[in-house]
This record gives sequence, structure tokens and C-alpha cells, in this order.
Amino acid sequence: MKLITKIRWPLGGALLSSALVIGLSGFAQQAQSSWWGEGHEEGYRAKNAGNPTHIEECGACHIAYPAQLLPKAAWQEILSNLDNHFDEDASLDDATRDELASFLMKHASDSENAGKFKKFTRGIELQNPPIQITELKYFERKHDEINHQRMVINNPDVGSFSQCQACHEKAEQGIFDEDTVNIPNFGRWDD
Amino acid sequence: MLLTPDSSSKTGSSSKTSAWILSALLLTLAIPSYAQSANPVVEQLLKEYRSEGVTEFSSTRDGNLWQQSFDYSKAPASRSCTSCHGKDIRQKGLHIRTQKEIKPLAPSINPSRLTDEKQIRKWLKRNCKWTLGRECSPQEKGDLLLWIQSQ
Ligand code: HEC
Ligand code: HEC
Ligand code: HEC
Repeated sequence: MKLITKIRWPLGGALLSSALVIGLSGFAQQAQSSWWGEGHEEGYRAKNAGNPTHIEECGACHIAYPAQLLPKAAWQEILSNLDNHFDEDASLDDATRDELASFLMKHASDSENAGKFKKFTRGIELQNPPIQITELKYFERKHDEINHQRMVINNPDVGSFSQCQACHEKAEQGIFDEDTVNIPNFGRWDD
Repeated sequence: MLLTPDSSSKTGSSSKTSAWILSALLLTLAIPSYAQSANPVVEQLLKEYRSEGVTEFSSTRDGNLWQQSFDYSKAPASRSCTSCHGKDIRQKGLHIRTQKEIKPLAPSINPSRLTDEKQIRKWLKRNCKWTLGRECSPQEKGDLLLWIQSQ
């Protein structure tokens, strides 16, 4: 009885600190692995997908397609034809358009900020590129296992490949990794 | 005079306090009735349309324009405001070409609606051109805004 009273405090202290150490090292491990994860394989994650002007002006009718998906010349072409943008009027005042131009140029697929999205420049003429992401060679290659009729066109919750967010659950945050894909009415993509 | 806290400074602290309470009370009473009757941004636009010759606005006439269909040379060949926003604007809409969800337009559900003049001008211009094939007249714009505001 007496012994227990005597060692009660040191024992409790020891137990508490070892619990703390275990807890902390677990935390550190977790932090390290996610750090490594990003460093090794950065994934299809567009940085700066959250530019407020871009989201407001280019994210009203469809998702604000991340700048990293198209090369500079394509963005330039799009911005100079906003009054007839795929048969829509998306025109803007000059100041807003200039602001968007510098944002889109800075993060385009052929810029130094493209990250893994640099692959979207593969097989296209950078000076004369398609202006649709869905017409890029690399896009087509990444989606060639998908049944276009059944899973896209005739899928009431998709309709067209331009609706990235229909299948890519985190598209609005600029994230397109394979493990975030869920084709409506067909389910998760495992291959 | 009685209501301004400053003027009561000579008459001692108790009347000072009651003046504060009274003005606070009046203020809280004033806020809800203000929000209900007039949206300053819409008021400003209506004033502008009046200066362009409109004498009277009507939100009922406009419930009709909201649902009216217009023929168009390109697909979709039949167009109306409901094509993207739906008939009941307290519900969310769906952009007819891109399938993107559009948040409810009704200010009663979505208080951020009709609060930004630039946005209102921009979208009325775009959406009238898309739907009617031309810009809306000041009469039509005013009627539409009043109708949206009433929802
Ligand atoms: C008024 C509506 C509207 C606005 C505003 C708008 N777009 Fe579009 N955009 C469309 C439509 C409609 C399409 C055709 C694709 C579709 O049917 O989904 C499209 C297609 C695109 C595509 C091609 C997507 C593909 O198929 O690969 C890009 C890129 C694009 N828009 C960029 C922009 C940019 C940049 C802005 C802002 C400056 C913008 N859009 C603003 C309606 C709009
Ligand atoms: C019909 C559903 C669907 C739509 C719509 C769609 N995708 Fe995909 N996407 C997929 C699937 C499924 C995969 C995985 C393909 C594979 O690995 O075989 C994929 C893969 C990708 C990848 C590669 C991911 C990785 O980790 O390798 C990128 C990047 C991508 N899509 C971008 C887009 C963009 C940008 C859009 C819109 C312009 C889009 N996708 C629209 C279904 C879709
Ligand atoms: C082709 C699709 C489409 C049609 C048709 C359409 N709209 Fe819109 N409308 C939009 C989009 C997209 C927005 C911007 C996205 C948002 O604000 O959620 C918008 C926004 C608006 C706004 C801005 C409201 C605010 O304060 O935020 C008004 C007002 C409006 N629409 C009125 C109309 C009227 C009136 C008609 C018919 C003449 C109409 N719309 C038809 C797609 C459409």
C-alpha cells in the first residue's frame, strides 16, 4: 500500500510521457509520409485552382477549368473570342480579361507552374493547339478506356467529356487523380 | 434631437441611457422593414430604367416573361429563362448546355442574389441575348428583376 503511494506519481508520469511519445511519433510519421507522398509523385493537382476572379468569371457556366490544362496559345485564343465562346456570350471588360490572361499564362500547361499537367502538352502544336481540353491527345489517351456512348453521351448524369466534375469528384479543387474518379451510374474506377 | 445620444449629455446619465436604448430599438425595428421593402441595388437599377422612359413596373407581367419560350436558330431551338434556372427559382437550376448546377436565384433562399450591380447587369445582358436573341428592354429588365426579387 505504502509503496504504491510512493511510486504513484513517478509511475503516472512515466506512463503519461510514454503515451505522449508514442502519440507524437505517430503524428510525425503521418506528416512525413504525406510529405513524401507529395514530393515523390505530385499527382494531377492544379495549384492555384482557387483564383477568385477565375472562379467567378470562368466558373459560372462550367467548372473553372484549371489553367494547367491548356497551353498559353489556347488561353489566348479563348480570351480573344469571349463574345462568341462556344456559342455563348462570355464577354468581359478589358481589365478583368487582362487579369485573367496573366493568371492563365502564368499557370498554363506549357509554363513552369504546370507540374504533372505538363503531360497535357504531349503531341500538340504549341503554337496552334486545340482550344478544347477534350480534344488534346493526352486527354484522349487518358480516357480511351471509357465507353463514350454508354458512360458519357447516354449517361444522364454526364452528357459530355467537358463535364469533368461529373466523374472527377474533386475537379472543382483542381484535383484529377485516378483515385478520385467515380463515373455516375457505373461506379468507382478500378483498374 | 431627443434621440441623438450627444444631445442628452447635459441632462444626466439616465436619460442618456434611455436615449441609447431608444435609438437601438428604432434601429432594430428599421432593419427588417428595410430589407423587406427595397433592395437598394434593384432600386437603383429601376431608377435608371425609369429615366429611360418606363412608367410602371409589374412583377406579375413578368412571371410570364420568365416562362415564355422563344424560338432560336440554333440548338436548343426553344429557349426560356427556365431552361437553366427552372420554373421555381427557389430550387436550384441546371445549365442546359453544360449540366452545371446553378444556385437558386430567389433572394428569399439565397440572400446574396441581386446584391451586386455588376453581376446583375452582366447576366441580364448575356441571358437575355441567349434566351430572346436580343437584349431585354428597360421595361422587361425591370419587370424581371421585380419578379425575381419577389420570390
Ligand atoms: C456564359 C457561359 C460561359 C462562360 C461565362 C464561360 N464559358 Fe467556357 N464554355 C461554355 C460552354 C457552353 C462551353 C462548351 C462546352 C460544354 O458544352 O460544356 C465552354 C467550353 C469551354 C472550354 C472547353 C472545354 C472542353 O470541352 O474541353 C474552355 C477551356 C472554356 N470554356 C474556358 C472558359 C474560360 C477561360 C472562361 C472565362 C473567361 C469561360 N470558359 C467562361 C460556357 C461558358
Ligand atoms: C465519364 C467520366 C469522366 C469525365 C467526364 C472526365 N474524366 Fe478524366 N478520367 C476518367 C477516368 C475513368 C479516368 C481514369 C482512366 C484510367 O486510368 O484508365 C480519368 C483520368 C483522368 C486523368 C489522369 C488521372 C491519373 O491519375 O492518371 C486526368 C488528368 C483527367 N482524367 C482529367 C480530366 C479532365 C480535365 C476532364 C474534363 C475536361 C475529365 N478528366 C473528364 C473519367 C472521366
Ligand atoms: C443558358 C443558361 C441560362 C439561361 C437560359 C438564363 N440564365 Fe440567368 N444565369 C445563368 C448563369 C450560369 C448565371 C451565373 C451563375 C450564378 O450566378 O449562379 C446566371 C445568373 C443570373 C442572374 C444573376 C443573379 C445574381 O444576382 O447573382 C440573373 C439576374 C439572371 N441569371 C437572370 C436570368 C433571366 C432573367 C433569364 C431569362 C431572360 C435567365 N437568367 C436565363 C444561366 C442562365
